[in-house]
Amino acid sequence: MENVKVLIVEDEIIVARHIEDTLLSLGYSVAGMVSSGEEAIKLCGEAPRPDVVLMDIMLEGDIDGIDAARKIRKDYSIPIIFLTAFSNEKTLHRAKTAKPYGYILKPFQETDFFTSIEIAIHKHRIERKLVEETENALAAIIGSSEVFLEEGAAKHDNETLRRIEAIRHAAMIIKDTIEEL
Amino acid sequence: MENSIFLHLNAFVEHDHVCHIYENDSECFEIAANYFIHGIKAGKTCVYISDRPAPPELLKRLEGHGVRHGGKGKAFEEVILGNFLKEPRRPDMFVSHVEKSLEKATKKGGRPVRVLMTLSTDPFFSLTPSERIWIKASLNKMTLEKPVIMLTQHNVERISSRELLAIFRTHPTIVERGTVYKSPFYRVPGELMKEGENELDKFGMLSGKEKKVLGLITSGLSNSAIAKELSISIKTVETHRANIMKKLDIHNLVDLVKYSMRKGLG
Repeated sequence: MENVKVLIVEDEIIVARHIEDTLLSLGYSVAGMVSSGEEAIKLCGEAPRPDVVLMDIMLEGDIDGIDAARKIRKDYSIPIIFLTAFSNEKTLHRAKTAKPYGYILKPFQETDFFTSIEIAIHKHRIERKLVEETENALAAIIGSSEVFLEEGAAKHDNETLRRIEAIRHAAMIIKDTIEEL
Repeated sequence: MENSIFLHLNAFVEHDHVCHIYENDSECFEIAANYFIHGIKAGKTCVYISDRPAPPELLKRLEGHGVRHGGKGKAFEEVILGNFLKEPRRPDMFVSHVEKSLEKATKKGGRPVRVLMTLSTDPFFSLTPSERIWIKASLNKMTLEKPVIMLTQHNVERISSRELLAIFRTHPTIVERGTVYKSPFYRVPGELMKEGENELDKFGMLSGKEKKVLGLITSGLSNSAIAKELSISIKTVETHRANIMKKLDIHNLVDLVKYSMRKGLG
């Protein structure tokens, strides 16, 4: 198995240690253990970056795990798995907005970590591949349409321009959808 | 002349030397001919620069005033530029060719030069605005005594805001149907020149490999496909891409593609 680095974000030290032991026994390595969202964000920006973040929702500090997860996803595109003892509807709803790759409920089983981490990494890899394989192609479609549209009526007739605008619009929809993933 | 901007030469005679005309506009020919005739009367050698021979309509008007082109002691030189601005575009060769011709004309006549430039709009307008600004600024520098002027008749609907801005940047005053507008965007030729050079330099800063990568990105190949094509690693492609964007000071992929298409890559 390749070396997967996991960052543990958990403010209860005993729980954090327990997770660390579990991860090591499963063959993962631990990129770090921190107890606040701020520290987690900072660590995700430093090399070597973790491959997965296990994030408790209730944390020390000013921001909770959901806000930290949103920021990490946005800035560093690292997959997040939430750990939590409670799952009321409101929290679950907020957690969804951070688009986590998994949601593990305490008390957890060893196997929860294994399946969640493996699925998160796999899913993240597929999503990255989708972005990587399509971003240049979409930029080529959108870019060339825009060059056409900017050349405008001096070079092209209205019918052509109208169709090119439609192509650009369709490509923008695909681009926005992929970016939202 | 509904919907047209008319940059009237008479208002610019004192400021400008280069003029663009649309070739089927009789009023433009009239103004162009007057421009030459006044120049010749003032003892200047007139140079007509174009990508094709001077239109018969212009020659006819000049001849009507006793100005002949060709022959000994002619006061009217014609420079035909051919394909310098078509693919592959070489604005630098265009400029150096004009430069040589002007030098020749000055030596021959021993008189100041008055230039009338008319390019069919296609090659000129296929250039990027910064290339055009660079060309105009270079010409301004050559004819030094006065800045370059532009006479043109654009249909407003056919001119993009970017092009309008380019016109406003190279011309201190614009006249439209009798109203004189001071351009708030006018930049002195020296400044424009520097700007244009920076722009050309930026592209020149790319290495051969980077240009190749840029061309492949522009055709929409993914980084992994580019890596395969060039037998390098994906990481190397990513590094090239990051360096290209840094050098060109372009920070998103769509703008990168647009830039490179205008440069004729991809």
